[in-house]
Amino acid sequence: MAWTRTAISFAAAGAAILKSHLVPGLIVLGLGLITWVLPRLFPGLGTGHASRQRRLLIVTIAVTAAAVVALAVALTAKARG
Amino acid sequence: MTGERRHRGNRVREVSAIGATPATPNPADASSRPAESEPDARFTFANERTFLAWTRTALAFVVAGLGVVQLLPPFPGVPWGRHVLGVPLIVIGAVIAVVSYGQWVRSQQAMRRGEPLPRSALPRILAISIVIMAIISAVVLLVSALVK
Repeated sequence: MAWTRTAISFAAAGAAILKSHLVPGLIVLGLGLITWVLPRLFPGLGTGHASRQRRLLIVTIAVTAAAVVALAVALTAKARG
Repeated sequence: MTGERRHRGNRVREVSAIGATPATPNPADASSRPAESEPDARFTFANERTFLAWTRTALAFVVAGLGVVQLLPPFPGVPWGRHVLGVPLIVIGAVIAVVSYGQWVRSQQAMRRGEPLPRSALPRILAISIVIMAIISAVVLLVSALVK
């Protein structure tokens, strides 16, 4: 459930960006999809300590990348009004 | 118990008695690192859930920052108002994500070694961020009202 809620948060972030920018929004949605699907496609990926640490590092990198994309959109996009 | 002296060539070595305090491990010696074992699965999952909760908080900050910049109408007389509010929110989101990962690593390491859990800086970061954003928002609103 916690992973599902996190995936939903990624979807919300991606949708917020998608509203004004198609490509960055799709990138963020893709990042969320990757972090959610990864342990399901490769069940053995998350069993050991090192695997778990690697998976959470991927999530951290994905969130940071989403923040960078959002920052680029915020600084370059033509806002409402 | 008294020590026992052994002669080895020209060197005299004192052998510690059983039950004496073991020597302090040499930090440079890799074999003297504290032993690690897999903690109870419940604690590992709880640590992971805490990390995911902070990740969702980080994403919420990012979305809020984007929403402020993209969706709010401009502040009268303060054209840069939305960016002053939105950009720090996005940056704070990234900071929370990175710090939460570090916190997960330290907590997991402490549990594996049977050590006390490290203190988390995240609640303090969150509280200070909210206070700063509230102050910035108040300033932008005041400036907007005065310039109008």
